[in-house]
Amino acid sequence: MALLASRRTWSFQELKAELKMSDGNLITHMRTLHKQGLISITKEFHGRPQTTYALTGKGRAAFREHISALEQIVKEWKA
Amino acid sequence: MDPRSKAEEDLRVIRTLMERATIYRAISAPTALVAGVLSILVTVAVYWSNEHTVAFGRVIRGRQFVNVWIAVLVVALAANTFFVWREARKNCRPFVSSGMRLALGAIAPCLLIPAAFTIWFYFTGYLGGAELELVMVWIVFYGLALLSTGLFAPRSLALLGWSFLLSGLAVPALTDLIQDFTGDVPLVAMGTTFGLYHLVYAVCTWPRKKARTVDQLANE
Repeated sequence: MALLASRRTWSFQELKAELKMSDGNLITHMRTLHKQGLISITKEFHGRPQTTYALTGKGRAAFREHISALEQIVKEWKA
Repeated sequence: MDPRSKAEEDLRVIRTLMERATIYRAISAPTALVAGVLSILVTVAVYWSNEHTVAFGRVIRGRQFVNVWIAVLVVALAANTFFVWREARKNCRPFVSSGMRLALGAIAPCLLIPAAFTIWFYFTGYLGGAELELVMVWIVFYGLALLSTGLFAPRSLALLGWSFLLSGLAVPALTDLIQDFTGDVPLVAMGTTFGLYHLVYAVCTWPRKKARTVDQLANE
């Protein structure tokens, strides 16, 4: 989610390279996020098939809430 | 680094990346299209008007020249505001985000000198026919403003910035050539940079509509 929040879109290969995950593992995670409506999946053809992922509005809002909650926890932890 | 500080640092990095990713929406292809088309239309209209002395019975120079281009700026800014607002609403985000504040903070210093120069021109400079100098300042500092977003904007915006900066710096060297062909260097410089460059930028960065989402594919 952090990667998807840092850029408009990520291709499957870029995500796989950054996260160092197997194809099956990454696809499973992406499908779960897509089922929850947190990401959109776009299939294009540029000489070869390419799948790109992006956060939806719901996904962006949910991730922002998640980060805020973590920041609150760290703040309380330090206090 | 202790675990608490590491966690704080990681979260800070994530939040910074999130904010930077949203800044691009402030400078969008639709805004560039509006600015480009409007600039070209105004260039053609003013050029034709000057050739036939239609609009004021005389050539559009001095303050009228500034007024025309400030009007273009106002319309382009209004269009940009609308597009940013629409996207913020679509994505359930605040209109004025911390990312937007970051971007405005970066470009504001680059706009002070052209603003001051324009004010000077409006009250004094127009008497000396300093349109060319004014236009050069606008073009160069607009380029610098775009380049100041280089840390968080896409490469296309940096390329646009360099195009403006180098074109503005090249105007003095090309003045005689442009004058021979068109007879109106400031107008042509504005039409080429704010018109043509924005149009090219819009065409090159326009979001592709051909891609279909998995949801759309599933419904077919």
